[in-house]
Amino acid sequence: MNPIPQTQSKDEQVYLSLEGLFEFYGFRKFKMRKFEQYSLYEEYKSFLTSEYVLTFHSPDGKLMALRPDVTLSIVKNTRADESHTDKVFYRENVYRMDRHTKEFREIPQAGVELIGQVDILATLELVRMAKLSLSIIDAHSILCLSHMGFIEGLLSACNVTSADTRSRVLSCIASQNAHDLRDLLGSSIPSNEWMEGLSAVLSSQGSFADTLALARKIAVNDQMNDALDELEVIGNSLSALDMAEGIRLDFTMQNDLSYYNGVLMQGYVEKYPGILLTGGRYDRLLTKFRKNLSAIGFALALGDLNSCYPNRTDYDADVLLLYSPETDAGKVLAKAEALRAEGKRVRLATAVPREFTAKTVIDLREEG
Amino acid sequence: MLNVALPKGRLGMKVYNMLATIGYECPEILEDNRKLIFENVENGVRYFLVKPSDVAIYVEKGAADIGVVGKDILLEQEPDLYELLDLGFGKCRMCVAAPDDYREDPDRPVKVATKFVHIARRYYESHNREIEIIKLSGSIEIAPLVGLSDVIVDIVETGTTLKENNLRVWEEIVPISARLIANKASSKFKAEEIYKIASKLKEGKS
Repeated sequence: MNPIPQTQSKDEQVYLSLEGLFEFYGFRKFKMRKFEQYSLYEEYKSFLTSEYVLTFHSPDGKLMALRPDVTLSIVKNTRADESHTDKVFYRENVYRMDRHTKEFREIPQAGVELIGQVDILATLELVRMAKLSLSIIDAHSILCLSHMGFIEGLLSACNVTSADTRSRVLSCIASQNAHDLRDLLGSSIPSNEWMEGLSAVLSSQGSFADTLALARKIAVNDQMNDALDELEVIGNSLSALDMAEGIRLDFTMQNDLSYYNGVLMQGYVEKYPGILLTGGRYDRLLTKFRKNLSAIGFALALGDLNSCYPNRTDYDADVLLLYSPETDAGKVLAKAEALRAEGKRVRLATAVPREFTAKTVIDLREEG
Repeated sequence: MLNVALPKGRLGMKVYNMLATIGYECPEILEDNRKLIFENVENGVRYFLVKPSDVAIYVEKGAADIGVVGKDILLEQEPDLYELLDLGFGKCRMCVAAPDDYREDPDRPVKVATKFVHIARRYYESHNREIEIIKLSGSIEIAPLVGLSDVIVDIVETGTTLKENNLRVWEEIVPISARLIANKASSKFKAEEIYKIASKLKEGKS
């Protein structure tokens, strides 16, 4: 008998497998309270995906918040120090405002954080875990990598200094919008060929190696080259281990420059229309917490999985076993258990239950 | 199957004709009926005709893989998607317009009537000017004429409507044109088809 219900929702199935995966890689479970003091989010507001936070007052007058983000709580409470690296995973709900409806949503999230010393092996392991996490959800998945150093180097190459221009340039990059980017940068573009090259990099859907080669052509400073060197090491290592399948480079992705540095990750699965996995290296957030540590992690938003991967069954049970007070109880029980041993869902009833459907009905009411 | 969201009306039909010439024909769409979904299994394409301001939502949420939408809608809604190509038609301007004799009063917020709340707010923020937004759904030009607002922020195509209502362009905020957009996840899993379309439309443009 399979103890896992056939009607189990996709997010539950996925989480169980993710938990197994994370434990397999030596990560320990991190449990936290549902809320935090609002001051934590006030101080690191720009780290959050939305500035809106659900707040309430505790009985002692403190302003509390339903957690909009998990990473901040983990960073605040981590036991990591310079000689000890913390590897944790979590499954928590976060509360965020929906951009379209302007209403708060409870979003189940699972993820991992590695805080302490992040070397190339740790990065490779996280990339591998991210790809395996996506594969648990859908056999057709793509993990994209980028590097904040490349984006920062690109901004320097175009002499982008003002905050307003930087925000508009980053917005064009994020939307693969090379046509408006060209107008925006104007004479700051190193050359027309360079701009054509950038356009090709942003829209590249080729292999990891192909996109890396395109990016090399427009790397005009040390920052860009160093970032590409690091990505190349990751790409080569994954290829050597035959783990590069479904991993690409996508330089349109980015994150807040004041918190993130190094490798960035975004993951897609075929039936989910958005970005399911986000992550990356965020040493700068640790610095803001006055912790001289490195960190890398990723999170999967599991909230819409059930609508993208519905697990509906046509029947409430495989077998409806009808009996009467006169039916031999032992016989009914034995029949039901035999069916369950075959993996069938069996409901016992004296009459057909209201609004209930079964694939097969076995009527033992006439039998003694 | 590639799902394409097109804006109802002239712009949508213009885009359909362009897509039809590059292999995505679906003649049923040209018939005079009230259907909103048209499919050609042979060519692997399904078209949705939707309200122009909803095209980006269909694409962002993945109901459509690609779509065509005005830059005004993208600036207003800031959807999370790829903007692959400036199609170079449907050209107009997002402008601040006001009555011919309008003079700004620096002692109070500017009353701005518009459909484009986000664009108007961002524009005035960048000019460090306090405003009061009056959100309207249509016939924006009337607002300053009846004292509802000082100025309007709206799309100006030829300027004829403004002129006939004794308004003039006060400032141009941004030029507008039709854009080819794509869902981010679709761009990964249907990359070959989507980028081939973008490339062919780009070739056709030049």
